[in-house]
Amino acid sequence: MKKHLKYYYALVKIQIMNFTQYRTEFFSIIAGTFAYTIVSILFINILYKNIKEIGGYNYYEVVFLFTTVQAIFYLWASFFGSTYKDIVKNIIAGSLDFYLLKPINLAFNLLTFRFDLIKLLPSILFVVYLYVYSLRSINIDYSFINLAMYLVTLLLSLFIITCYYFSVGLLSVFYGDTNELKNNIAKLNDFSKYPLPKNILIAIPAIPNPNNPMANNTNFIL
Amino acid sequence: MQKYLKAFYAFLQNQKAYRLSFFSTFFSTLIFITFYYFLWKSIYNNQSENFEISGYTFKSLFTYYCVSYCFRFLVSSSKSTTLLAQEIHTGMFSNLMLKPIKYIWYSFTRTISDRILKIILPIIFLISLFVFGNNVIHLPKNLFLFVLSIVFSIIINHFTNIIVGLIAFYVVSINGIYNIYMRVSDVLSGTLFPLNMLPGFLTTTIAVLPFKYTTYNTILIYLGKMNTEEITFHFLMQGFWIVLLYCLFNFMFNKSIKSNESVGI
Repeated sequence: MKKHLKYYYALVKIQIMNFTQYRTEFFSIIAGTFAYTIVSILFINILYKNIKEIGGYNYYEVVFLFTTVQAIFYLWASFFGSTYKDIVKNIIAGSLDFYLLKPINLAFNLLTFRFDLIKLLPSILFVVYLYVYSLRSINIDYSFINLAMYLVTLLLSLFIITCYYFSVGLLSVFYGDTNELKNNIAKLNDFSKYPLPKNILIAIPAIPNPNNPMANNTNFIL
Repeated sequence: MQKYLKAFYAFLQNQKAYRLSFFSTFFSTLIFITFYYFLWKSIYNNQSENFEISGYTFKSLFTYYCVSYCFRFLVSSSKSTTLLAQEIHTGMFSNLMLKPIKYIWYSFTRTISDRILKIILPIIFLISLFVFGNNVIHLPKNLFLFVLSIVFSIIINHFTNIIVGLIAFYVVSINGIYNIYMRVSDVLSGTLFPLNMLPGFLTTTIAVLPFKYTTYNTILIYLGKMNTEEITFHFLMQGFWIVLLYCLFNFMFNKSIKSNESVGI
């Protein structure tokens, strides 16, 4: 355990140094991660310019739903993003040996190889700001059970996404380039960010969509 | 011309290597279309059939998204950006410079070979929607002009992608810039939503950029929402942007290769 924590600490240090080495790259990557959230909020604003509610959700509730899903996604990407970005690339390039030869648990190494919290921190803060902004305009019946269930499902969602992308990434061992499949699975995210009809959200668990609990998170609190 | 044809066939063979990737592109289209169908269905819910949002009924808006996403990878994909960046950073670009080819047409050949196979399934899907979809989408009002517009849109898209890719000569990683470019072009081209839903000052600004003449105007031709004068103006603007972007690329390319160190990472 101590060996793994020391290894992780060294890895994080190297990645932060690597990322902050070139200023243009540093700022452009941060701006790039902002761009998705800004475009999505723009889309929600465009929608609500023309209508009052979607599926019974008003503007603030949709922003709350969106920011919940996005925050979980960013947390996953910050600590376990290698499941999305590196596994397929390494299997195709044949550089998985780099991980296999280390005296570190393979799954741990593959899961935690990338540390993107620095890159995503400004986006996470922006999403948190939107989250608080929307929360202030929603009438919520706070209770201990509601909040506890909300936190539990948030953590479960994080766990599910990680396992999910890890499994999809490992399919490359059998099928070669699964980048497109991996990207398509990521697009299923969109089903969670907007209040779609309940029959669709129920059908979604039949298609492996780990973000469904995220959509249900707001049902605990709204 | 023959050398580019040979390169085209070689790239086509490469595309056939990973079949899962070929089907995945189509599934990606299906996911987006399904998502937008249910999202807009819940927005138009409990409204009359002729209820319009920014001039679009549910049927015309759903047609918009179907056509937009079926042809998205033709007119708004940006693989040429990342491939150029990869070639520069790995030093492969120098290899290409030694060959008796013009990079822009070599890259265009690669772009076409990448997209030509992947259009088959979306076209079959659209035809199935017409035949079995029970009047869920509109038929194209002018198929010939629509296809012509798509062809010019592919060229404009390729030129804009490759111009963005030239930034790789000056930076170590193009990822951030690429992400920003993708998001911005999705909004400005009308892939995410019709441009007339944006406020007036933004639509005026977008009109001076080439993105509007790729997806948005092309779909308006499909839906029959443009008159003859507007269609003529659209094609003139497409021609203008093709010429301008080609000249811009040549200028920037000649400047950029002077700073190419051919080091590779």
